Amino acid sequence: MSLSDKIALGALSLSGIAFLVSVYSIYLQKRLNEINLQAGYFERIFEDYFVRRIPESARKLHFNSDNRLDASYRDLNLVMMHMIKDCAYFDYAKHDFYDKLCEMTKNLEERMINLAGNDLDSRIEQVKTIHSLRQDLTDIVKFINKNYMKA
Amino acid sequence: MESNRIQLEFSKTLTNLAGNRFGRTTFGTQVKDKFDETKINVAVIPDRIEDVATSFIQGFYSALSENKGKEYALKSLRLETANSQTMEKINFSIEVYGI
Repeated sequence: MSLSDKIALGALSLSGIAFLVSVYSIYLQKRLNEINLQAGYFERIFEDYFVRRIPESARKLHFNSDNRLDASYRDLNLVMMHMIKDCAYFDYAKHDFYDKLCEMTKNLEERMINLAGNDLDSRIEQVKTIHSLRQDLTDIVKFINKNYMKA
Repeated sequence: MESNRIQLEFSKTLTNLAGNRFGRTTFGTQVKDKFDETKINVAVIPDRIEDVATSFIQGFYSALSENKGKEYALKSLRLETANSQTMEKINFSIEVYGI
């Protein structure tokens, strides 16, 4: 192979590599645009819930003088339900995420309703239970954040 | 369309309804044999019931929706209570989570 052939082959190889790199760049840019779009939706939908509505309603969780979870848990449950309603877009855009989020909020609802219907006499257990409910909430928020990062 | 009212009965100590399985059982033992396909079936929850979980609602409707579809299930079977707060909750739960 002559020198000019080698140079031509080298140039061709470089062109091929440059082509592949540009195709991959286009793919990455497209992916980044999708991520930014999804991230925008996440922020718009969940921001008020994270910053205001969930903390405000979670603060009301307590056991009443009947040793049952006070009816104020309904405020938190209503917030969760409104959140699920507001993020229905993800039922189409990120179905697995939406399904899992529905499951988590329904489980929390069921837990709170059961606690509201049954006596829990021990003050220590009451404190532990409130802490545990708040942990469930934290898990929900963390789950949403995790998917926001993967958006 | 004429309605077929079915009074649901629960233990006197029960103030809330929760659990998918409990919803299924309630339909199976208290509604299924009284269900009239020619009428709107109204399952009446006692007033003393203060809250109904989505899990119960979904369990309650599950047999009917699995056999005949969700649209039919919602048209032919309704949960009702005179407790307005609970009634609102049931309606909102169905709206948000479906059956």
